[in-house]
Amino acid sequence: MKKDLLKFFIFLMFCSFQSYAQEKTVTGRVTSAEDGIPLPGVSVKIKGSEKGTSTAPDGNYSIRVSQGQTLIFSFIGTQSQEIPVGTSNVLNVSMRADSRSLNEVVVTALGVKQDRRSLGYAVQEISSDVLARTNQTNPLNALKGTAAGVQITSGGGAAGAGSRIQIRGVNSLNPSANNQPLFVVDGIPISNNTDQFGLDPNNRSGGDTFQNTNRAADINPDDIETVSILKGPAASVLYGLRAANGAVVITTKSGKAGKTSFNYKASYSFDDVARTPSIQTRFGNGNNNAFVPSLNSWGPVIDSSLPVYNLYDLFFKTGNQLQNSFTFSGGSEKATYFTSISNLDQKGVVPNSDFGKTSIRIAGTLSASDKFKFEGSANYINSGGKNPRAGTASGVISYLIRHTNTVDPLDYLNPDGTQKVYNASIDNPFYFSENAFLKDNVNRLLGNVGVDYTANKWLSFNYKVGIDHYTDFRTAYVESGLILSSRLGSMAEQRIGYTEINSNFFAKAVKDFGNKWIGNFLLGHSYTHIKKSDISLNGAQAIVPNFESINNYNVYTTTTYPGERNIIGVFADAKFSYDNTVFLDLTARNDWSSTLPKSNRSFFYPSVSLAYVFSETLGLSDNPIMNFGKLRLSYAEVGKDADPYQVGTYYSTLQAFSGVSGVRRDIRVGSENLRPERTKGLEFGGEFKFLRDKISLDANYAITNSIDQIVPVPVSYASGFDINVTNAGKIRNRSLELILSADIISKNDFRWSMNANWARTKGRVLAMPPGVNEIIFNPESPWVKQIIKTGGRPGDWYGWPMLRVDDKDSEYYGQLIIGPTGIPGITTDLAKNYLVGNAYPDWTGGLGSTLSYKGASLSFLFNFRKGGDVFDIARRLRYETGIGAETELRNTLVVFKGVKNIGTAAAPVYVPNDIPATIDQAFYNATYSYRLSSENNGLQDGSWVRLQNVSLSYSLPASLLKRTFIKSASVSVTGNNLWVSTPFVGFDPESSTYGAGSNAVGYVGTGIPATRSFFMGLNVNF
Amino acid sequence: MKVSYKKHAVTFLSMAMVMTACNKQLDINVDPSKLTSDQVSLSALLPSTIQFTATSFYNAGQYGNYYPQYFAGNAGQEAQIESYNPYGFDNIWESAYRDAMPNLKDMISRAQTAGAPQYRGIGKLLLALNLMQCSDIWGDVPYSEAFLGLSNLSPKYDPQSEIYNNYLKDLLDEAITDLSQPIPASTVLQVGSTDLVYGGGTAGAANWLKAAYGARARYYIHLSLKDASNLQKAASDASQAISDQTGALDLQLKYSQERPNPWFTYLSNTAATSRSARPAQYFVNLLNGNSYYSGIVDPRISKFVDKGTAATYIGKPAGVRNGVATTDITANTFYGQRTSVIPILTYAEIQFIRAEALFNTNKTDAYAAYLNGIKGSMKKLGVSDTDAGTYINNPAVSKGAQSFTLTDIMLQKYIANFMQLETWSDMRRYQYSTTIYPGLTKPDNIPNALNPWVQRGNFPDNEPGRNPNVPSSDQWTKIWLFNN
Repeated sequence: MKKDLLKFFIFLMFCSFQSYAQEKTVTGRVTSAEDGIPLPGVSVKIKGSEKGTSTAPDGNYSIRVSQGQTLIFSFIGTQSQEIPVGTSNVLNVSMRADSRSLNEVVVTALGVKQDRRSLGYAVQEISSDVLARTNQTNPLNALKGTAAGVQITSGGGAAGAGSRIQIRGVNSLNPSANNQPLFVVDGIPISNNTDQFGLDPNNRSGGDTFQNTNRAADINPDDIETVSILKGPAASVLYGLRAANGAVVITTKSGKAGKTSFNYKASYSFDDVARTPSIQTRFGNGNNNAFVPSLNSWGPVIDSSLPVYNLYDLFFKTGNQLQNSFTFSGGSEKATYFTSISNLDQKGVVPNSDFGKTSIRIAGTLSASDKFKFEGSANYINSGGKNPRAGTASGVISYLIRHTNTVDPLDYLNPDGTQKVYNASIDNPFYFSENAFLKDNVNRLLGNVGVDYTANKWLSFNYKVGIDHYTDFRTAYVESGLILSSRLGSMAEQRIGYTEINSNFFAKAVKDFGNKWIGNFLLGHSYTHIKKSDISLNGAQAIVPNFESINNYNVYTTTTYPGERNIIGVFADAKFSYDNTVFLDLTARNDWSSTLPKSNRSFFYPSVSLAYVFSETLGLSDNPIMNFGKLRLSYAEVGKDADPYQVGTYYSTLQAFSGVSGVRRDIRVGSENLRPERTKGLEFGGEFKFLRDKISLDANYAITNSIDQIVPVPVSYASGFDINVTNAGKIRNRSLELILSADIISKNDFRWSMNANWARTKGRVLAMPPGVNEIIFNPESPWVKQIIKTGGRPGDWYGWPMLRVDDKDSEYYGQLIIGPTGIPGITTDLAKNYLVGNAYPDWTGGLGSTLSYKGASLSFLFNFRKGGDVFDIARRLRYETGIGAETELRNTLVVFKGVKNIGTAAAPVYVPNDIPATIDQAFYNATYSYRLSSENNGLQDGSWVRLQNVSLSYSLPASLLKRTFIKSASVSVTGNNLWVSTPFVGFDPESSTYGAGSNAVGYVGTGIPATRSFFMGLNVNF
Repeated sequence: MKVSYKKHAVTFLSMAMVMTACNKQLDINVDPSKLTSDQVSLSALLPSTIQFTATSFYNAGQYGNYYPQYFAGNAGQEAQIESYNPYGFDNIWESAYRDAMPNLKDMISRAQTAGAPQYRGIGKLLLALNLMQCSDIWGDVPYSEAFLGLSNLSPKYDPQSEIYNNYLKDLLDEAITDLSQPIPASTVLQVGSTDLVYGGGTAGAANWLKAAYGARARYYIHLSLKDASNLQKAASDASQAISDQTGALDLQLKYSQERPNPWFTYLSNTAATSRSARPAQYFVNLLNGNSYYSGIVDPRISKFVDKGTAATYIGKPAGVRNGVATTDITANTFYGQRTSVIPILTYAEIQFIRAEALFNTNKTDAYAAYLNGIKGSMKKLGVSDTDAGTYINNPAVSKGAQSFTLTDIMLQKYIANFMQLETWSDMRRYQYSTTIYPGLTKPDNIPNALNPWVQRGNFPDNEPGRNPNVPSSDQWTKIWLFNN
C-alpha cells in the first residue's frame, strides 16, 4: 500500500511537471475503422503522463494537450494508436479491430459489450469459428464440450432431434421444471421450448416418444457472431427471473461499412449410427431351445444353411445433411445491412425420417444523426420434419431390439399391403416406422427494432422491442393394425402457437468522478408478454385404413393447454471502476409477475460483484511469468415466478359419457400464498495470464442455493389431490470450473493453440417440502427409480443391490451371497430402496486444439464425462428376448462365485458356493421380473471419452484467386462424434430416452440412437 | 437543443410510468380452459362421480381378480400378482381416493348447502361403497382426515373398526334417510338425466333407495363375523333392496361405443398373446362340469368366457407360468363387450346375501333367495329360460331347502359375482375354506416360506413417499374385519 502511494505521488509530480508546457485544446472524434461507427469510452491518454480522458457516447473527445506530445488512443478489442499532436486542433481517429484481443470483449446482459477485465462473475464466450467448424445445424450441439460446466445432451439421432442444455446442475426439485437457461438473441429473449407431443405441460417429466426439436435449433448457426454463456445469477440478473438458470446470449452478425461482400457456404454430410449393442447369432427364433411360435430368440441352434439377420445393419441407413447458406452484407458510414438465406435438408438414419430448415434473415443499422441510431432485424424460419415413433413399449427401436434373428425383417408386407409379422406381440420395425410417425411444421418469425439516442456526452437512452412468434402444426399418425392404439389406428393433430413480446428500455449514464474513478449507471424497464396455445385433436378408431386424415375417425377428444404470462421489471445497475483496476458492480431489480398471487407478485433482488486486477497494482504487466491476474467475487439473487394458472383449484369438464357431460375437481391444488422462488449464488474466481499471454487460466467456484422453490409436491391421494403446488425445498449446487488455454506456438505461418475445460457440479438436497419424504420418478417401475430426498443428490438412483456378506470380520466380506437355487440373492424387502448410483456425471470436460499452417488448419475437440450411471431400458428387452449377445451363454450349468449360507438366516454360516445354476431362458426371464440383470439393477457407468469434433480446412492461397472475383475460399472436412470410448454396453449412453424437454436424465435405450457425421464443406467469400 | 432533450426525457419517463401502471396486465392468471368452483353444478358432478365409482370397482377387479381365482395371470406384472407377489392396488387407490371420493365429498357438501337430499343421498351411498371396498382391500384406510385438501395433505389412517363401526354406518344410514326424503320443487335440486345409472326422477330416487338398502345388506354381511346379529339386519335390508330379477335395475354403469368398457379395452381388444389375464381354472371348472357341479355344463359358461375354436373350456391354473388354457375374456363375453356394464351391486348378490344371512334361521326363505340369485344371474346374462331352467332344476343345484348348504350359496354367489372383487371378501370371511370353496388350492410360487393365503393388499406404491402416516403392513396379516 505504501508502495502504491509512493507511486501515486511520483506520478502526480510527473504530471504537474509535464503540464508546464504550452497547452491547447484538441478535439476530435473516434470511430471504428470497420463500420465508421463512433466509439464511446475510448481511452485518450497523453503519453508519458497519467492525464487523459475518454470519448463520449458520440465518440467525441476533447483534451488539453501541448503540441509535440503524443496521444495514445486505446479501446478494448482494437489496436492502440499513438498519434503526435501537431498544429491542428482537430484530431479524428479511426480504430482498427485487433483480432488477437477480440476475446477480451464479452457480451453480457442486455447485449452490453463489456471489457472482460471488468467482470466480477464468470462468463464464457464462444466465437463463431468454433461453432462453424462443427457444421452442426443445431447451435446447441455446436457448443458441446466447449464450455465449462455446461452440459448439453442430445435427444438422440432422429433427424432434427432436440438438445437439452443445463448450466451448473439442477436447481429445482420439480421433475417438470425447466432447468434450462434463457436464450437471448441481440438483447431480446427468444423461446427455447421443446414442445412435447400432446402432453400436459404440468406433467412432462416422463417426456414423450419423439425427440422433438428444441426451438433454439431454429437459429441459423451462420448468423451467429458469438455466444456468451452467462453461468450464474450474477451474470444474468439484468434479464430477470427467466435467467435464474443462467443465460445463453447470442449476438448475430451485422454488416460492415464498405463494399458489399458475399459469402456462400455449403456442406454435405454422411451420418450413421455410432454404436449398436451386439446381438447373438447362434440361436434362432423360439422358446426353450425349440422352434415354437414366439417373439423370442430362445430357439434352437441356427442351422448353418439358414440365413441370419443382423437387424441393426439392415435397419439403420446412412443419413445425409445438405446445408446451403448464402449471406451478403455491406453498408456505408450511415447504414449497414446483413442478409442471410440458409437451407438444411436432412435425411435421417432410420426409415421415414427427415428434417428441414430454411431461414431468411435481414438485419440493418442506421445512424440517422449523431444522436439517433436505429437497428432492426427480421428472421423468418420454417423448420420441421418427420420421425417415427420411438416409445419404450411401442416404438421403432423397442421393436427393433426385440426382433428375432432368423426372420427376414424386410419381408414385412402381405400381398394386400398389410403388415406381415412373425409374432403378434411386436410390429415390424420397418413397417412401423413408415406407419407410426410424427410430422411437424414450424413457421417462426423473430424480429426486433431498437433505437439508441445519445442525449449528450454522458447520457444515452436505448429502447428495443422484439417479438418471437411461432406456430407448430403437428400430425401424429398410427396406422390401424399396429399394436399401438389397440390395432384400431389413431391420429392426432396438434396446433401450438407461441408469441413472446419483450420490450426493454434503459438509460445509460457515464460519470468521470475524477481521481481515476469512473461510474457507469443504467436504469431500465422491461416488459415481457408470453402467450401460448396448445390444442390437440385426437382421433381414435380409424374408419378406413391407410387414410391419413383427421376426418377418418370414430372417436374424437380434444385437449387444450393455454398459457399467458406478463412480467414487468425495473432494474438499475451501477458500475464503478477505479483506475481500470478495481471494478464494483451493483444491480437491483424488481419484477412483477402475473403468475403469482397479487400479494406476492412483486419481488426485489439485488446483486453485487467485484473484480480486482491485482496484476495492475503489482505492476506485473511486463512480468515474463505472470503478466495478468484478476480476482473476482460476486453475490447475486434471482427471483423466479410460477407457471401460469398454478394458484388455487380448478374444475375440468369430462368428455361426454352416453351424451352426458360431467365436471370434476382437478387433482392439482396451488397454494393461495405462493411466493417467488429464490436462487442465491455466491461465486469467486480468478483469471490469470502467464508467459506474456501465452497461457491463460480461468478458475471459478460457485455455490448456488435454490430456496422456496415452486414445486408440484406429490401429496397423498387421500387429501383429495395428487399435486400441491407450493414453495418448498432447498437445493444447493457447488460448481468448480476451470478453463485453460494456451498459444503454444505462434511463429511465422505456424500456430498451435490448445484449450481445455473441466467442471464439477455437486448438487445436494438440503430440505424437502413438509410432509414429503421423497419424490420418486420411476417410469420403468419397479426396476429402478430416481428418488429425491433430503441429504440426497438430484439424480440419485435407487434399487436393489445384490446381497453380499456384510460382516467385516468374515473372510468372505463383500462376496456375493448365493441363494438356494444357485443364483445370487437380492435383498428380500423390495419395499426398501437402496442408493445404487447417480445419473449425473462426477465431472465433465473438453480438450481442444487447433493447428494451422499457412492456409491449412486442423482442429479437434475431445469431450469427457466421468461417471453418471445410466439405465438402459433396452438391455432388459435384449435379455428377455434372448437376442442380446450376452445371452449367447445359455444352456449351461454355472457356479456363481460367492458364498452360500449353511447356517440360519439369523446366524449365517458362509461357505464357498458350490450350487450349480442353469443359465437358460428361465434364468434371464427371472432377471427380468424380480431378480436383477446384474448388480444394482443393471445400471451402467456412462463415462466416456468422445472425439466430439475434428475438422481440417484449407484456405486457397490468395495468389490463386487473384484474377477471379473470389476474395477467399476454403474447403473443409469435418467429423462429429467420430469416436467414443465408454464402458457402457448398448447404444450411445448420451441419448436420453425422454427427449430434450424432460428432466429425466439417465434413461437411455429406446430412442433413435445418436449418430456420427462426416461433413465436406465449401466456404467462398466474394 | 436543451428543450428537445428534455422533451425526450419526459417522453421516455412517461412511457415507463404507463407501463408500470398497467396493473391490468398482471391480473390475467385465470386458466381460460378450466372452470372455477362457482361454475360447478350438482348435475355436472353426479355423472363424474358415478363414472369414477364404476372405474374404481373395475380397478379393484382388474388386479384383484387373481386372489379369488377368477383370473390367472398371463403376461407382464399380472403374472406376478397371481402368485401374491407384492402388489399395492395402485389403480383403485387412484380411482377411489383421488377421483371418486373427493368429488363425492364435494357433491355431498354442495347438496347439503343447497338442500338437495337426493344428490346428498346418492353421494353418501357411492362414498360408502367406495370406502367399504377400499377398507376391504387394505384394512385401515384414511377417512376422518381425508379429502380436506390444503388443510391436511397427509391424512391419518383410521382403524378399520372405526371405518366400519362409525363412518360406513353413518354414511349408509344417512343415505337411506336422504333418499327417503321428498324431491325438492326446484329443478336444479332434482336429480335428472345426468344420473347415468337410473336416469333421475321419482323412479330413479326409488331405485337409489333400494340400492342403498342393498349396500347396507352388503355392509352387515361383512360384519356378520364380528357379530352374528348382523345377519338379521343384512336379511332385512336385502328384502328392501333391488328387486328386479332381470338385473336391469342393478347398480351398474353401462358403457358406450365412444366410451368403451374398460374390460373391453384391457382384455378383449388386446392381442391374445399380450392379454394380461385369462380366466382361471378354478372358476372355469365350476362351470364346465369338472369340479363341484360334476358333469353339469353351466349355460353361463359361454357368456362369461370365450373358448374360441377350442373344443373344450379349460381355465388357466393359478401361479403356473405356462399353464395350458383355452378360454379368454373377449368381445364375445358378457363383461368383455364394448358396451358391457360394470356392476357395482346386483340383484343376484343381494339374493345370495339374504340366503346366507337366513341360512341358519330360516331355511325356506334362504333357499328361495338362493334360487332367486341363480335365476337373477341367468337372466342378467341373457341365458334362455329353458337353459336356465334345465340347470336350476338339476338336483345338484336344486337340492331342496333342507339339503342345500352354505357351499351351494357361496359357490353360486362366486359364479354370479364373476370378475367382482366382492368375492374376495367372501373368501376371506370364510378364510378360503375348502368346505365352502371345494377344490380351491393356493397358487404356485408364493413368495413366502409359510405359503399362506393372501389376506390384504399392500398399501399403494406411491403412498409411502407422500404420506408419513402409512401403517406398515404385509399381505399375510388378516384385516380386522375378517380376524376373529
